[in-house]
Amino acid sequence: MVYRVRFSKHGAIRYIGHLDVMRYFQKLLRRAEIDVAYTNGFSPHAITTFAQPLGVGIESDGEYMDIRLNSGISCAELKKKINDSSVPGIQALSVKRLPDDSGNAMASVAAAEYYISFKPGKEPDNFKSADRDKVNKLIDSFLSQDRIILVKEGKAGLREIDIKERIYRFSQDEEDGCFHAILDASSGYNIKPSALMGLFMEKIGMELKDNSLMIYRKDTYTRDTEGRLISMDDIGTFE
Amino acid sequence: MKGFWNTKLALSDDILMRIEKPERYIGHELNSVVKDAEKVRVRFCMCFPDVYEIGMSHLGIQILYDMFNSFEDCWCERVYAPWVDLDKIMREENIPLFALESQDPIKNMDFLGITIQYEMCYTNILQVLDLAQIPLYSRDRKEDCPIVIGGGPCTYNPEPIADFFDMFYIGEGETRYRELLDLYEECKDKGLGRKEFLRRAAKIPGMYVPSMYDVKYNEDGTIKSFDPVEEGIPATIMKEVVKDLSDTYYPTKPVVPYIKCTQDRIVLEIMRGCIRGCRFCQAGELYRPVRERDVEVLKKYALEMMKSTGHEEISLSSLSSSDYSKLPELLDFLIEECSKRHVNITLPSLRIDAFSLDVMNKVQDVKKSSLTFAPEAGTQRLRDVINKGLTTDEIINGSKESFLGGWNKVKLYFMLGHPFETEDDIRGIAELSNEIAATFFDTVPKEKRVNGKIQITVSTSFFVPKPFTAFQWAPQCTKEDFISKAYFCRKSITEQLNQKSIKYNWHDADLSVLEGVLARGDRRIAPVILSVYKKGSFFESWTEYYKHDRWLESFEEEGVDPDFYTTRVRNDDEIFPWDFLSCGVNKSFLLNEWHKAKEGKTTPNCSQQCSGCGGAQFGVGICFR
Repeated sequence: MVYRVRFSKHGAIRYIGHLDVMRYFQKLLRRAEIDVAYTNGFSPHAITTFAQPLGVGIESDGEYMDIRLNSGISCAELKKKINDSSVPGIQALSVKRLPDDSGNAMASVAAAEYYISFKPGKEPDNFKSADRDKVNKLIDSFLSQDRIILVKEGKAGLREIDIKERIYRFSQDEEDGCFHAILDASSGYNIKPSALMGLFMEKIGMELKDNSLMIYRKDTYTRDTEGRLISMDDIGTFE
Repeated sequence: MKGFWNTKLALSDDILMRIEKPERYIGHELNSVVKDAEKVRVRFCMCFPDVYEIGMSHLGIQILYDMFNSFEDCWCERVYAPWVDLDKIMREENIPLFALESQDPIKNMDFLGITIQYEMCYTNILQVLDLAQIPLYSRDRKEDCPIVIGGGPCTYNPEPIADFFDMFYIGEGETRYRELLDLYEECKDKGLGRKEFLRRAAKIPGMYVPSMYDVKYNEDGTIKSFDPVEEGIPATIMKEVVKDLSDTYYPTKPVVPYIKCTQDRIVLEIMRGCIRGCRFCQAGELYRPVRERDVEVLKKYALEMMKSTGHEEISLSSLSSSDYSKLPELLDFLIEECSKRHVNITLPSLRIDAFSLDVMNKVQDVKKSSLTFAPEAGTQRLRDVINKGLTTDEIINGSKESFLGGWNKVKLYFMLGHPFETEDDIRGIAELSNEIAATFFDTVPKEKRVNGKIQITVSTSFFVPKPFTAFQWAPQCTKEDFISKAYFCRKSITEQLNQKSIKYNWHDADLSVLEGVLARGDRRIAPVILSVYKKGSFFESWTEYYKHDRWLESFEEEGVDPDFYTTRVRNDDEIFPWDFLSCGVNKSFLLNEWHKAKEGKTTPNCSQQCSGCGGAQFGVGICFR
């Protein structure tokens, strides 16, 4: 039986890298005494699959891990067991039991939703006074380009991809002036929110300085049978 | 900002995103203890002066952390030496060193406790004090500075660093801290001040307050006298010993780090002390008498810690686990319970015999693991000199058994530069290694040899005489001697028939020379350590940051002759800088051992016969079995 756990990463925990989060859950699953399936051999480890890794420094309410259990347990109980054994900065937000034919957490990732804002004191000068309409006009002109080229660094070196069709949402629609984006997060085409902001700033003639953004991942999405984006949390049943 | 938490961190996001492994500095680990600072009377910060991954692996701090936090009036936090990248930023931006749990500056706390595990961390101690913005010399500290207290094995000769500490705790930490905190609170309530607290603390057993002692030197540089400066301060300080290891503090909920640390596992301390009186070994004397932890208590701890940490591995800790009387029972229990929980068992250095091979077979992947022998010396004659109770027959028979069991990797540890070592002894290292290889070819038929061969790795380190050992009188080899011994060893190995099966490594000689100075140094070394630190050296246990030239320069500048501390021949009646301390083992016993070493005579181990070392004065342990 495969379960999908949606979890958060908050506060100081945002500095814990992805590999260490994976190690954290190995230990957590033992502490919680969850009957998870293990690999064989002299150094057994629990079989887990994670969705798109989160960058260091980013907070999130939309992280996902799939685990395979040997025996059935209610989703509510599994969630409680996890949270009782976890630190406040990492909490299970929801647990679903997956149908047998669903894809694994990593392979089925299609997109991720972010809120992005400038750190206090790091806003570009002419953004401080800019009203939302003005900023959204700038965003529209950015999005209406023929192509939006992102240079990605991969194993095979640099490659250019056109991300115009892979930006599913980009606007400044919140009261507090933060940007809201839904971006392709699929394997090989993952767009980092900082990269989007970099391209946007460049287009409007400004430079994005290192470490000037606060980023929050609200959720991670997959596609339903008709190709629509749905939350990864919408797969499976709460039973 | 939507979804963002406000978290108090001493370092800004800018800094944390700019440095390597920010996880070292953010606290918030599972099982770390957070208390209300307003509701405690004593803030204690415990420091391991090396990088987080090393410091977090240390059991001693976890024990004391657990103990201090079990006191309602005390909040104990942790700090480690910031890595070089953050060190630079903290200096540039004038950020005071902070404790992980509260992220508060250490300079505002009541105590800074520093555990001192190896000599090469001395400059890191200065780094930590400096970053904490605490004056480096004890005499320069004002009323509002924390009391800087040292503990750990190196405090058995604290003299080279004595001027940097307000006090030292000599011996095992579980026994006297409650008393010390009570005294501290009393002095604080009465407004008695720092100096009076230290004067009174010096009267608590096990406490050494360097400023309360005066040292005088002879013209030849040796010590003439070492006396308390006033009445009522003890002339000799006896180490503290836990009487009942089964009824004391144990961290059954140890802090679990996020990043992978050196010791990423549960550590079960099964006993303290060692029955084997190897004459080079300091730990073997310092932790006498041998005391075991009750096996039922250990079983309970193991289960509790598996539940509280979720670690995927458990390891036993002691100086010589094979000597633990209930080892088979404990291992049977662990093998059963660990397999249920998918927890791995790693075995500490066990004596190689049928029992240990059987256990290793059950818990380890034979194909991947190698067997370790530590003969320490190449010939039986020299092993008798150093009183290493291991015979050539035992080594060969152990090898034979292990080859039959499927092992084909052997690691051998030796030391070069033992007192009374000859070329024959060094050649003996090569010959013994060759004999082990020959044993493999004789024992394992061709068709059963994995890859057709045996891998023997020989490692030699250079012997550094340590205080409170029989060899504390021994002259250390010069750097040139060390290197020529290593070359001779290498040459001897290449002359062996099975030389292709033997790989040889040796340690750095510069470091061993310096370790020798610091190990048997006195108070006159302190300015040298400070000078080296001021030249920019710390993290010297990391070879890339060790700059030997700086030490040579500083010795020169401060007018200190390193040879005085290393290669000099010491008389039997010399007063050593550490003689005012006692680990329970009498100096007369050690001197007798030194004389017996010269004659190549062995001394039986504690389980065979009591040799009257003095350890029995604690009234516990193997002395009364």
